[in-house]
Amino acid sequence: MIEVKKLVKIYDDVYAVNSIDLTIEEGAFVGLVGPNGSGKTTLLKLLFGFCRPTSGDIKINGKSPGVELRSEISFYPECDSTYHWMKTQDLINWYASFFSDWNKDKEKELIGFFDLPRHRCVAHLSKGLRAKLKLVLTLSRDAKIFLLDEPLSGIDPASRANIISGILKAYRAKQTFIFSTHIVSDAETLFERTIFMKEGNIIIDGKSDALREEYGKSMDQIFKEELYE
Amino acid sequence: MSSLFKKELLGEKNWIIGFCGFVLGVNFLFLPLTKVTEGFMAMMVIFFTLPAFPLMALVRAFLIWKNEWDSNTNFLLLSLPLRGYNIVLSKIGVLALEIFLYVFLVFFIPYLMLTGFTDQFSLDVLTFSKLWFLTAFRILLIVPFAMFSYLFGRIFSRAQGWITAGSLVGLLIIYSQYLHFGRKIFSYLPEVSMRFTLAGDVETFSLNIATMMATFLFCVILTLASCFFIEKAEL
Amino acid sequence: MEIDKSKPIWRQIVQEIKERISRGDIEKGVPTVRALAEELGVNPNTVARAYREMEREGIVESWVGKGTWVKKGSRDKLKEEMVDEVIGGFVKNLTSMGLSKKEIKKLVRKIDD
Repeated sequence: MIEVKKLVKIYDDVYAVNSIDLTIEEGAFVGLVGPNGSGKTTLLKLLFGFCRPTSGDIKINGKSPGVELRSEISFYPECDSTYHWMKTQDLINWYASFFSDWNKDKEKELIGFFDLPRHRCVAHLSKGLRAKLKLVLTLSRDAKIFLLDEPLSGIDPASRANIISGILKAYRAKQTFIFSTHIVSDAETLFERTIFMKEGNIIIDGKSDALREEYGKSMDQIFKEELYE
Repeated sequence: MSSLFKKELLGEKNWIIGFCGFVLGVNFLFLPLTKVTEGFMAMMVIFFTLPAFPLMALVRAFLIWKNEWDSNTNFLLLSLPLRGYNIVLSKIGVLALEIFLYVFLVFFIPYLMLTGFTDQFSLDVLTFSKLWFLTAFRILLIVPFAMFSYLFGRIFSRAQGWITAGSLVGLLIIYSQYLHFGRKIFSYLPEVSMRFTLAGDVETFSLNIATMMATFLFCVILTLASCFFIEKAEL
Repeated sequence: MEIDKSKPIWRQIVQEIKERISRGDIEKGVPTVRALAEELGVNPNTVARAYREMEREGIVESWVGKGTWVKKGSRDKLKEEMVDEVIGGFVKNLTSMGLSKKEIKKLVRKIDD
C-alpha cells in the first residue's frame, strides 16, 4: 500500500508537487493523467526514491522510499536509460542478474510479444524498440509495485496498442501499477482509477467508471475539457 | 557484485584499448631513436607521459560518473537493489585496474628497452614492482577526490556544477590542513628504499610513505562518504 | 466489440456478454476474465466486476479455478428480457406518436401478413 501525506516538492521556487495526499491500495491499476509539467514524473520519482520530498511523508508498505524498496518497486523512466554499447539480450541478462524476483518466463513472453531483436546492439534499435526493451527490463519482475512514467511518449500510434497489450499481459493480481501519461485515450481502458494532476495538484481522483458515469465523458475528454478551463 | 564490475570494465573497453595502443605506439615510434641513445630515449617517454596521469585520473574519475548522468543510464544503474558502496567500489575498481595497467605499460616498455640496449642499466624485479605500485597507488588516490566532489554535487537539484567545483576546492584546502598532522600519525612507518644501476652508478633512493598513507586514510573517508552520497542522489 | 469510453466500461461488458449469450455465441463457458480483458484491451478487474454483476443477476455462476459458466435457462431468460425491452420501447414510441393500445394491437396483427 502506498500512503502519501502532505507531499511537497519544490524545484527552483516552483511547486512541482503541491501538498498531495494519496492512498493507493495493493493491486490497483492507476492512471496518472496530466499535461507536461503537472508533477506526474516528480511524484513517481518521489515514490521510487529518485528524489527526496521538500516536506511531507511517503510510506510504501510501511517503509520510506530508498534502497531497500528497490527490490519491491520497478521503475520505467521516460528517458532512454539503456546502455547503448550493450547487445539487447546482454543488457537484459545483466539487469536480470541483480533481481531475485526476475521472472524468466515473463521476459521470454515479452521479448517475443514485442519482437525484440535479441542480438542487436541497443544503439541500433529504433526509438520504439528501445522503449519496448525498457518495458521488458521493467516488467519482467515479480515486483509489488510498477511505476511507469509515460510509457507511450514518443511512440508512434501503431506501436501504442502493442505496448498497452504488453503491459496488460504483464499485469498480475496483487501488483500495483501506476501509469502516467498525457496520451490518455489509448490507455484509459486499463485504468481502474484515474488521478488527474495539474500544476502539482490533484484535481480529480476517482474510479474511472464512476467518473465516466458522473461526467458522461471519457477520461481523455475530461483531461482535455476539465483540465483546461 | 561482480556483474557490476564486469559491466564497468566492458564499458571502459574503448579507453583501455585506446590508451594501451597509444603507449605501445609511441614507444615503437621512438624505437630507432631509443636504440641509438642506448635506451635513454625511453626514459623521455616516461618523463613526458607520467606527469599527465594525475590530471587524467582526475578527469576520468569525473567522467566515469558524468557519463552515467549525461546518457541517463543513471536511472537504470540506480534502480538496482544495491547499496551505494557496490556502485562506488566497482567504479573505483575499474579505474584502479586501468591506472595500474597504464603505469605498468609506461614503465615496462622503457624498462625492456633499457635492459635490452645498454649494459649500464639494471633494475631488479622487486624494485620495479615497488616503483610501479607506489606510482600507480599515488595516482589512484586522486580518484576519491573527484568522485566525492561529483557525487556531493548530485545530492542537490540545482547549481550542481558550482557545488562540485566548490567542494573540490574545499576538499583540497581541508586536505592540505589535514596533512600537517596526518603525516605525524604515520611517521612511524619505515622508508621504502629502491636501488638500481643507471649509467654504471648504483643509485639508491628512499621514499617517505607517511604522506601517502595519510592521504590513503583521507581517501577512505572520502570513499565512504561517496557511498553515502550516491544513495541520496537527486535524479 | 466497440467500447464507448465515455460510459462505464463494466456495464458495456455486461451488455455485450448478455447479447452473446442470448444470440447463442456463448453456450456454456464465458471467456475467462484474463482472456476477455486481453481481447478488449481493458483492465481484468473491470471484467471481473461485470461478471460479478451478472452473477448477482443470476445469469452466470463463478467457480474458483473453474471459470464462469452460463446458468441453465439464462439464454431464454435473457432473450425474453431483451425482447421485452425492445417491445417496451416500441410501444412507448408509438404511444408518443399518438396511437392508442387498440391501434397498436391492430398493427401487430398486420405483422402476420
